[in-house]
Amino acid sequence: MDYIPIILSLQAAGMASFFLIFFGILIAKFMAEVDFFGKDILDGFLILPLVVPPVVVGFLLLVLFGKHGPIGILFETLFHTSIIFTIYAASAASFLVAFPLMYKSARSAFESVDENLKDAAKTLGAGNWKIFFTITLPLSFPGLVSGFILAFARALGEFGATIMVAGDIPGKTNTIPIQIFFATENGDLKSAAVYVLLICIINLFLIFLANKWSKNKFVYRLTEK
Amino acid sequence: MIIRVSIFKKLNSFDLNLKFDISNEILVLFGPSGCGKTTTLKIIAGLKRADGGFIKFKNKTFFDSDKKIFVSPQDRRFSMMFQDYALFPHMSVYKNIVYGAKNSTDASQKADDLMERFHIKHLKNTSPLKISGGEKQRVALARALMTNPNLILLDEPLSALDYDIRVRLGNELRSFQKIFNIPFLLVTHDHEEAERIGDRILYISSGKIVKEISLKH
Repeated sequence: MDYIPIILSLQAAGMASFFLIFFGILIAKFMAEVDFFGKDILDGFLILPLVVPPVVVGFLLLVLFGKHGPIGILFETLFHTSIIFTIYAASAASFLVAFPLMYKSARSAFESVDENLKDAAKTLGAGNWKIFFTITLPLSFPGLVSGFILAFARALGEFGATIMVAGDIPGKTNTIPIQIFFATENGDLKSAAVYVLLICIINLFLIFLANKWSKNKFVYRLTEK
Repeated sequence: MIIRVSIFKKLNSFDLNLKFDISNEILVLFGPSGCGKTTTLKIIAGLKRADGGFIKFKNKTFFDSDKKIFVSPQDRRFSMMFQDYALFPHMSVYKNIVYGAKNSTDASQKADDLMERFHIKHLKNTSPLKISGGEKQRVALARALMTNPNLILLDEPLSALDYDIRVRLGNELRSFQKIFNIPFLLVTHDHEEAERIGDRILYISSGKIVKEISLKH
């Protein structure tokens, strides 16, 4: 069995994870706390990658990251290389399709924290960031972790957008889903089945973890004697 | 007078329009549910904005709609005790109490003193989820006092408790107010409680003060 697709999948999903955590939490915090005109429309755009076919996401990424796209031109100028057909493009595709899962979970976790707790903290002199780090974040932690696990599982299984922006370059961009597709197309069903089984086991394990975390009220147990 | 309040706010079914002063006493806002009592507390705390009026503490202005002054709740030092006490469930009793303290070295000594005085020292490392209603009230009051507040706002602090405990804790609230010498503004819909605890009662109906009485204890 070729281990490269497994490593590449973990690499793409791993890089996407960093941005998923950072932007997922930051944007969810902003959307949960600030009211402004057009908020529902922006929310729709943030969830859109979840409901449009992944090839649509891939197409948009090609437009943005391609040779004539704004990010593509910027990348070319700064690093003298193209991002398309690299593991970074696969990672960007994974990030975009998985983002709504992280964002939605984080936002509902933040919104479920009792407003009275935040108000009490305010009257005790705590600023917005102190409230966020000491009240909102710890109490949302189980929701954030389960959201992240689901997003990571989605990133790991991403195919449609990845094939459009990263292609199938052996040893460089052939992640597990891409390996499955091309092995099947070439009639190598045995090899495809091994990867199918592998990704099913990994994702089932991740879903099991996510379910366990979402039920876990571990933060409440920290202070119990 | 220490605090002067004159506020106006449009609510769904009536307008809140109140004008009163608070001195070093327990002032009770008494009225039925939905008459605007909790909204008044939140406006005074700075958690909600009034449409008009002013809130003054000594010579400082915390809110003035004409002068467009609004001091944030963080800078008013008006501690609020919520109906459910709003203790942070993921922190121990001790961490709840020192939450608002600025100086950590002084805070530890002060927190110990307060816990001693409120008879909750044995609960120091316990989760607030594991303590009784009366203990929760004392923890919430100790937490509020840690910040040296200018005023303590109490939103139906006894409503979730049994009658006997309500009477006992009501008396405790009175003695704590005298000991710490800080104005208390308490809201309740229980008339007996208002008379037992308050030095003065303002009767509120549909957002307006309809009667005021002073009590001698």
